[in-house]
Amino acid sequence: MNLKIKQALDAIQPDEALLRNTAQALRAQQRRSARSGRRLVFAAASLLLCAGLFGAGWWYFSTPVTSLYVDINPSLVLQLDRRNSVAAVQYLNDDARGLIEESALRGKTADQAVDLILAAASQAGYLSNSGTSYVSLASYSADVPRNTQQDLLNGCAQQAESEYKTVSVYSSTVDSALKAEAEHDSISAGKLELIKMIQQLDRSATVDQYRHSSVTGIMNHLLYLTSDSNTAATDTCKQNVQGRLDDMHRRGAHQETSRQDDSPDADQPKSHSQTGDEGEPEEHSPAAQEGSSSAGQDGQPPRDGSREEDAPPAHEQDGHSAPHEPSPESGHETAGEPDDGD
Amino acid sequence: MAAASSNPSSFPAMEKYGTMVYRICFLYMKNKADAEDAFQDVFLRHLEAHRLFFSEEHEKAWLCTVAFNRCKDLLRRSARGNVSIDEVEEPAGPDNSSPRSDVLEAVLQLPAKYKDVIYLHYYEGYSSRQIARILKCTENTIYSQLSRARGLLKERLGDEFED
Repeated sequence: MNLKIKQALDAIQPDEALLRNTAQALRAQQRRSARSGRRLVFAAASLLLCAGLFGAGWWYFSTPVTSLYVDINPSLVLQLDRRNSVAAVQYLNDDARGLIEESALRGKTADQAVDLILAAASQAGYLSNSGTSYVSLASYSADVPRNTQQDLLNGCAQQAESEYKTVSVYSSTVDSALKAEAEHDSISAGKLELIKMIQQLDRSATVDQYRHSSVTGIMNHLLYLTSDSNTAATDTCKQNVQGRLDDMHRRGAHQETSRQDDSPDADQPKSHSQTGDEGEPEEHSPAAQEGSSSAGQDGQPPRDGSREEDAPPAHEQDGHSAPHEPSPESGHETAGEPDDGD
Repeated sequence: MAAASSNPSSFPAMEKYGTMVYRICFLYMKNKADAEDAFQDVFLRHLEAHRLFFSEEHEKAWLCTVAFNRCKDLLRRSARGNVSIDEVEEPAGPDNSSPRSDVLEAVLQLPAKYKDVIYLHYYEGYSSRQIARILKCTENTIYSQLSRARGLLKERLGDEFED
């Protein structure tokens, strides 16, 4: 039976024409597939291009381009992306490390981040409740124009000063040379700039003297050095430094006017950028300083850094009686006797 | 160029299994025109499937399955309704191109489900187990279908059919 069925089915054979026509149809189909394949490749390439552009855009906007140095005594650097959001945080000392978690700052805008840092600093006792607490903000960017950076700093400073009445913010943009020097000295660029201003008025001052000092300590000393009480520096030098300080606090000074109208009690911190110009020797006078105490009353926490800035080593060691920490009353009153100017 | 593009040898599967596929299509469709349509459909599917076959046997079995299914689909479609393939009356269009033997005629008259097993068993020489694997059913089903198909052939062919 096998054979019979096989023989019967053997009779069924396709025509040559069928095979030819089918081959033709298959060839045409192959061409169509190739065309649609090309379309598919084009679509895939377009998709890849879009994904690439999106990725490049994301990379462009999320890559840190600005370093924002925040100094109180806790010192840290906020790495900001092009949207001024915090992409990374770099702690410059142990005080900063214990102050706030990086995760709390990531993704926040610069002013929000500064606000959070100040809130943490206030809670940890780094900001005085009564006297002025100075905060330094400095920015560096190779990509962002200085004007834009300054706008950013102004925004952060205004936010901080409106939130914390005893806080006075000095801000500046730093150049690559100062940034490199700060990195070399393992210090914040903002703090280094202030120390350099001290060095203009006091040639014996070194970076190491002020490395662990709070910005409040450094600023009080600077304000003393620019005052009439300091007779060691020339008036020209004092004016230069005072001018620079005014620049750094100009925004604060502008705001101060309106603040004075709103709350007369809150004017004390804002007077610093102007005291140099107006020259109020009694604030820096030894008599005034005698009534103030250097440590413990300025609201600074009992940290190493605070203690060191309360009494900068050089002044103690080499006999300089440079002013130290401000008393709550005098704002930038100093505890030491500025007798090196004698 | 046209000759080259229409050369069946540029499609090895068609060259190798074209006759087998056509035979299956003809068994189902029972006329040349429908069988040719089904034949082209099967090889278009083969072309578009872009399948990798691990052996010639694999490719052959795949083509058999596709041919069976395609023919059943066409028959269903020609019946224009969702009816079982066994209920579909297969077209018995005249195909006077060649005289058919009684055996072929008897095979062509079998219901679709019996044609599969008869063709695969008697013509391709597959065992029941292999047929079960190709048609995705149990071996017992194949045994019973073969048995019924033989009974039908015996009924139609009488003494001519000897198992």
